[in-house]
Amino acid sequence: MAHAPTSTASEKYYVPHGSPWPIVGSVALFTTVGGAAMWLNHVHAGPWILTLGLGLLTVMFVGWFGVVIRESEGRLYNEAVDRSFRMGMMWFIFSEVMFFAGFFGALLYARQFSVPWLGGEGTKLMTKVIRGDNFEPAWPTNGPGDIGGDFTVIPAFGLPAINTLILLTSGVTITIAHHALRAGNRRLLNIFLALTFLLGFLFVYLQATEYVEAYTHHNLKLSTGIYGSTFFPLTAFHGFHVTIGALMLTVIWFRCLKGHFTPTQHFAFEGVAWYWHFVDVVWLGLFIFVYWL
Amino acid sequence: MARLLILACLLAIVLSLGSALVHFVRDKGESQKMVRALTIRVSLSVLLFALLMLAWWLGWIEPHVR
Repeated sequence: MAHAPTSTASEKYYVPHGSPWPIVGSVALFTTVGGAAMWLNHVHAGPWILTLGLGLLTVMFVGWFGVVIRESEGRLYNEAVDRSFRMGMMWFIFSEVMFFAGFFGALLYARQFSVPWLGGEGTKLMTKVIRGDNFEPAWPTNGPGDIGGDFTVIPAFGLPAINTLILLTSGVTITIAHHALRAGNRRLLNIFLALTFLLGFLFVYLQATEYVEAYTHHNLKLSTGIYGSTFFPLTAFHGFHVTIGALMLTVIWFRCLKGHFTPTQHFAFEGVAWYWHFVDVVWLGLFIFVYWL
Repeated sequence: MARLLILACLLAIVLSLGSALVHFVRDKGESQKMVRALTIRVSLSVLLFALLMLAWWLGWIEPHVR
């Protein structure tokens, strides 16, 4: 949430001292995961401990963001710090790419290899003979044994297509906001940035609606064989990323309203804008591979 | 053919996004290159969606059904 250095920036590489936020963050994460584990194990206090953890996490984010923003506005960051921020962002993105590569890889492996093998394709004829259940591979499937019972998929032209249009539109609005920031048009920047995060939250809301539809009308659940167990993690983790992106855009919007950033110094804006484009592209891949190809 | 076009378009989108990341790290907000690459990325994405709809309308591809 920082921004790049100016001529008045510090000569020294700024290192914060005595920050309470790392330990607060650790305690918050421990409490959150502990609460979730207790809940899953039917411990009565589980949901309360989870709520406490999430509350602590929120306090940590607000506090830590505030500190970094004040440091940035106080011109404590020089060029070396800026370089560190950009390298940090790059490695963070690399980890995100690997994260989604794992999920897309699982989907493609199941579709292209393991499901056809179970049906005896290629050199796996004996697999089919030994299994003896006459399983005919086709995608979408919940595999041999019809795990999770009969199900139907969510039609591509329903909510998925609407959500694709919403995210594409938000990609256009963030780009207009980016151009406006560089041109020094603050009014346009504020309007289009607000539109971007509002579209993001709308996407998340519609995604939740889609899940309710899947569970209630399509019998499509996380437990619906290989299709359910690839569909939900992929779309849910993407939805989680959209939520994080929309929250970060909201923070950036408030900063823009306060007059932060200049046409050439806006690292935080650039980082969040790029992240937003990234989640948009992941969704495009998801829309194509999950619903079409 | 339609599938190849769609995949090629998706690849071009990923490349333009990657190019924007390179400019984000190297240019440090001082050039227009990052925002230009992102503009190309968005334009290609809109094109891809249109291509998908066109391919479906012409009967070249069908969404998954079950």
